[in-house]
Amino acid sequence: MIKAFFYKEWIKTRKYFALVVIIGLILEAYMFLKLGRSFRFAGYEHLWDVVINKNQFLFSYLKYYPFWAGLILGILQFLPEISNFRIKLSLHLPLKETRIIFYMLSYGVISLVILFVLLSGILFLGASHFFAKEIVSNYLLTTLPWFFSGLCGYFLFAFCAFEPVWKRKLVNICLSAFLLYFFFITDFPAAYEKLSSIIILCIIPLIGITMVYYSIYRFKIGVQASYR
Amino acid sequence: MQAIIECKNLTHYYGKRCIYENLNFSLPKGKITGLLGKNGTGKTTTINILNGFLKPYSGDCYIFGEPSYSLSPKTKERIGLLLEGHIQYPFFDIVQIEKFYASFHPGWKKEYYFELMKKLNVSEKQKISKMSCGQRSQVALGLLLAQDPELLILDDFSMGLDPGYRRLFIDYLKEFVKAENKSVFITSHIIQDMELLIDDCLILDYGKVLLHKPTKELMSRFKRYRFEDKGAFKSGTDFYNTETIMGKTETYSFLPEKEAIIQIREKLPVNYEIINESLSLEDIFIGLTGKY
Amino acid sequence: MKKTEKIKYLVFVLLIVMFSFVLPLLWKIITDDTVSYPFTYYSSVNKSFCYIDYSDKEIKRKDNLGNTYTDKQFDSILPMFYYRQLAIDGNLPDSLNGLDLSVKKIRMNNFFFRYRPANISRPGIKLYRLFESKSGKVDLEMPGDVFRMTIEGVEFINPENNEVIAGKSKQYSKILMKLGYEGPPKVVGCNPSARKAYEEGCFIVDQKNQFFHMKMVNGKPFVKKKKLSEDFEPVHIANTEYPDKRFYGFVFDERNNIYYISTDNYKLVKIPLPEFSYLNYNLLIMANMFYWNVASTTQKGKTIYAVDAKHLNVVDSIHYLPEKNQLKAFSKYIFPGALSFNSHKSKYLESKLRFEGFHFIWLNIFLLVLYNILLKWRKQAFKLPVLIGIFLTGIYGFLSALLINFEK
Repeated sequence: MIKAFFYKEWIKTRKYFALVVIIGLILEAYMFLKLGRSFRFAGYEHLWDVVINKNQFLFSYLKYYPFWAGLILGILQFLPEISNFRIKLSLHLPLKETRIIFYMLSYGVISLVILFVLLSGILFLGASHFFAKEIVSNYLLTTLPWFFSGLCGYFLFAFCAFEPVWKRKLVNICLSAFLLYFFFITDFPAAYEKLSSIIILCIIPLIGITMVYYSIYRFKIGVQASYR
Repeated sequence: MQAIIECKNLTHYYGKRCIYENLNFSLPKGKITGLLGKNGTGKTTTINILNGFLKPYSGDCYIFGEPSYSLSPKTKERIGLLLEGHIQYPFFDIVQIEKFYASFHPGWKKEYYFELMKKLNVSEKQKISKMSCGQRSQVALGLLLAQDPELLILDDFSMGLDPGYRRLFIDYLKEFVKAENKSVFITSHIIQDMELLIDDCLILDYGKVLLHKPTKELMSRFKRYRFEDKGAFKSGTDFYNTETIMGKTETYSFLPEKEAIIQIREKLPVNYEIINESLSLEDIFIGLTGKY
Repeated sequence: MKKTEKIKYLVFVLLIVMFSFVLPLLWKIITDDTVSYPFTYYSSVNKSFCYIDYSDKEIKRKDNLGNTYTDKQFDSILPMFYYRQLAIDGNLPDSLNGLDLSVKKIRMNNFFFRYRPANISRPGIKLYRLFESKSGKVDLEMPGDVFRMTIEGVEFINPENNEVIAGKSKQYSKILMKLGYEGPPKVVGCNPSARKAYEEGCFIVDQKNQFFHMKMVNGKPFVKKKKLSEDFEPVHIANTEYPDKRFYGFVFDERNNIYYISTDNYKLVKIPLPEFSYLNYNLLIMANMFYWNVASTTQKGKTIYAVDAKHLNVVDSIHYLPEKNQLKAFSKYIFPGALSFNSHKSKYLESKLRFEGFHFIWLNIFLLVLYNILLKWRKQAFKLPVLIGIFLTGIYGFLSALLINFEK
């Protein structure tokens, strides 16, 4: 049955998601072309110097891409469910509601993780070709919060979009903005290296998932402003 | 007989507006019950509460003995649901959507669906979003028939359909309930269609259940009486929606014909001519709930 | 408690966290102003601190003895600082405190050393560079490689092809291993800048607390070793490579001491600094041939020690308190702590909760009462966790509770 759900979400999102993937690949291709150009212009040793000693991050183009990818997937997946209360169709399927939501979210998470692993993989291979492992790991650590922001953008969109009461929707949007802000606090390479930061990076998506269940539940039972 | 749907003391508000208070009814197995009511009397609200898509302000609702807000997967399997406006997934084509639903229902009857689709004259690759309302209703119906549930809940099936599709829908529903133990709970604002279909009538008025009776009984007992009394007639408890337009009075009653006429005569000063008529379901509905 | 109820409390907690970050931040943005201290320098002429006071509209040049100076006079009592101006004006004295003076000599002995906690608290890429230390040229040339410290020595990498240079790596590792090096190193001090007077290579402290000085001389490795005491825990080495070649650099240790590494057999000489912590204090040393002006700064103020350059003992000190910012200080009566994720003290992202005592308790109690009145007015029952939340987190909990209705 999870297959059927993935089939449904796949039919729903495939074209646009393919576009998102292609944009991601183009973005990375562009970054590496630009990197090659920098190497030719500045020389290998100089560029290494800038990276090691001046804390230059050469893949900044990637910064908001995962967030947009997550957000767009969220919009594609959940907006059709919200319009005309179409999610009733899914919730009426002979499965537990929590499981239905779980399957829907799994699709999004798996798609995003595949996309992000693919992009990180290319980044890893490309960077490993040009740079020492210390630089590569520093760079991957730098992009880590950005990729997490993609997952959270996805969850938090659902958290805000499903919320039926407008006032609470605003509260949710503020809360989501705050949670997402965490991923973009600092641009310093590998600033999220400490364990405490990594833990928070992992906790925020978990909060996001919980909140999606909550919003869908409120959406389903038709919570109204008067008794919130 | 076991009640399939049971509502106890159902009360719901939208904001401060009361939809109904202490609504009670129960539906028996094996019948087609029509939920009739004017706009805003809470038909869709009731359907939503029945499926757990709305939490009532207070009161309880049971389907197959389970509280409606937490139906088990097994029970959901026994219920077929048509959303208002024949809402389905617009991004599927007719083959894809069948494939999707088939995997959830063990007793899926593919042939029912495709039989209906053959008549539709749409290509297999046509997305549901690109179909007409009538075509979409057939897709939704086909899926319900293929699911072959014990209970069908249909919210305003006639919405947006031309007479041909409406008739087609009704014909299929009739065939569907011929099988044993099938029940249907249906709302529609075109009451004409219901006359051909429903066994029982559940009529909602603002805030309450006005009446819950077999359609046959309703049609044989509920009569309209017309007379030119220049507004002299004062209706009592046995008469509904008495209305005088330009000196002509209409009133409705469940009383046996003779007794009704006697009662009317008693209240009239002059011996006017009284015309009594049998009514269509639509007229009955208007007789019971009024034109306004 | 039902699941949805639990999530409601989770939202409540999240909102509190959000407010504890956003509100103090807003307050800070509204009330913040720069903290500036007078420029202060210890005079080798009249043996007292001299400073330029900008606090009034008129700039005042004074010393600690109560004298006020004109611009020109000020230059002349701080010849070690304004020597170039004095030289241009022809006013540089020939000798001071019994020592001959010249621009060159002063320049040779002057240095500025700046340290910020973020120098240590930062994620770094542990790749270093070794310049040729005897190139015979004025400018240092890029060596064409970088190196990493490994367990068994050194690995040089060629950026051109991202490959390890086997021969050179082996050459250096062999010497290190011979001297008993055991990696990975605890601390490495290297100055990657090519804009320095000369190259003294790198300083490495290994797992066995052995101190290595490694440099490249005529393309060949030069490594010296010195044993450090067992309980010495270095956290940071800052290479200086100053013209006077009195020391190689500074070492910061776990106990917040700073030493210089003497060019005389790597002796560690302690810099007198009564109050210092490498995680919290900014440090600025402005040194000349007579005195070091050692300034340590925190939010609580700035202390400057005049340290005798020869014997390294404190001869004088001066302390500045930061200007009082009434509005800013008032925040402790409103906010029960403030959450922050980054600070100027670290390049890492670190979530920290700042707590300044219980001054906020009265506001919390007031808000608690207000919330109860509000509940009465709305005819709602109270929820104990919410009340506790408001009591503990004051304005954060109060605002959060207003946004969520805990009635069914």
